[in-house]
Amino acid sequence: MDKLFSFFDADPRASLGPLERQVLEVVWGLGTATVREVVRGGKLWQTYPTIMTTMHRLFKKGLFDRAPEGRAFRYSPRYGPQELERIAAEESIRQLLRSQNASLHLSYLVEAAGTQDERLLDELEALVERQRAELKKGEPK
Amino acid sequence: MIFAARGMMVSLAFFAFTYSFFSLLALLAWRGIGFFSRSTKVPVNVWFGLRVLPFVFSAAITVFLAFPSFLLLEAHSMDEDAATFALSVSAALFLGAGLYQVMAAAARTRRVVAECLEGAKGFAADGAPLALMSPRSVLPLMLIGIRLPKILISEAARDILSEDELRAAVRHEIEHWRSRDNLKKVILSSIPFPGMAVLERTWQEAAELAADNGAVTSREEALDLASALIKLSRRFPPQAAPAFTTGLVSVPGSVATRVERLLEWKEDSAPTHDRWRYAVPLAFAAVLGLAAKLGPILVLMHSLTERLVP
Repeated sequence: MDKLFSFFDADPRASLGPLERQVLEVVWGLGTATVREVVRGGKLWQTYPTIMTTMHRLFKKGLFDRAPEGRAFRYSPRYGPQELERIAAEESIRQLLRSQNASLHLSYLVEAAGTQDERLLDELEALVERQRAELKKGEPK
Repeated sequence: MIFAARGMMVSLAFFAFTYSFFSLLALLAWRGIGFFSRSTKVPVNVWFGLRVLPFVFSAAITVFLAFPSFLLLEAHSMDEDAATFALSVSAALFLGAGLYQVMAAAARTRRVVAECLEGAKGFAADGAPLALMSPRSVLPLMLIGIRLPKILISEAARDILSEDELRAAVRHEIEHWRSRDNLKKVILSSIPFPGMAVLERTWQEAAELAADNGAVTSREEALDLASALIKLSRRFPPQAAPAFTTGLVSVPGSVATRVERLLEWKEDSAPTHDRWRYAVPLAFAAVLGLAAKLGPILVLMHSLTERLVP
């Protein structure tokens, strides 16, 4: 049941197929593009109709804006790569918190963050000790 | 009497307008400074000034210009609209919320501090206004009080820190006392504005860095303080200091940044305190200039008030 809910609740912007990601990367590179420009770019081997449906899907997912240009559409990305990464990260955390074992997952997360902090403090402590030893030797860096 | 009440209402409405405008400008400036320079390089007083000046400017303009210009130049027939009334009510609510926030936070702080002071004994620490060793302190080291501040040192902190590390930690709290940081927290709490929490947090983090900077005069001392921070943050889970107090490792997430800065400490990192002296004669000259042109300024202010809060 959880899975069913998460399927309906999931942010479509956070779940991208491989071709959708490739198309997105091409359009990020071009700034804005029509389907024909993406196909002519030569970075993708797929046919015109496949690219067209993929770009339409990205538009439906809210990742592209589009404006009519002649008989076609010119697409422009609504989010940059970093923004999209943030959306995906937020969505993953949201799904984690929605699951049945949310508290368990959270405790893993806190534990992992704590280990990271401990490691950072270990590193900083080693640096302090090294600088102290250097000072004692009379060789300040 | 009714005329004076009208004046108060219009002035409050004008205050609400200017306070909102200057606060938005301050938030924009905060974003701009953060965008163009590393926030750890910006002097701590810049953040405090950005947070406080919108209130100071709006209050000063309202009290010294908007209210007198109303009394002198406004017609006696009542022509204020509902928006003016709504704005004045919102200003009164802001001011009331600030007062309530200060009183509630002061009561909370008093309660926590009273608990921390139970069983506390005097402790000799270099240069500390009054140091107390406390078995029940909620933080390893705390600066409490405003007029007659005290430094509370937990027994756990005394046990895990070396003498030099404890001395450096106490000096950090003394720097908070010298900078009147507890008083500044009261001031910030009394002038609430939506969205300003980010600026207050930036100031708090900068105040910790400034206190670290002021507490050390040599590389040895910088390393002692860095070591104290690491030891204490391992032992005490990060938690917020009670409202009008400061604590050595109370701001979450900033310990690593502070230790990194202390590791990079150099002789020329020592703080300079004399830059703000220039501000006093400049402000005095500005006030004199305004006083010399008070008549035309009041007329201008009145027409501005009429436009903003008709």
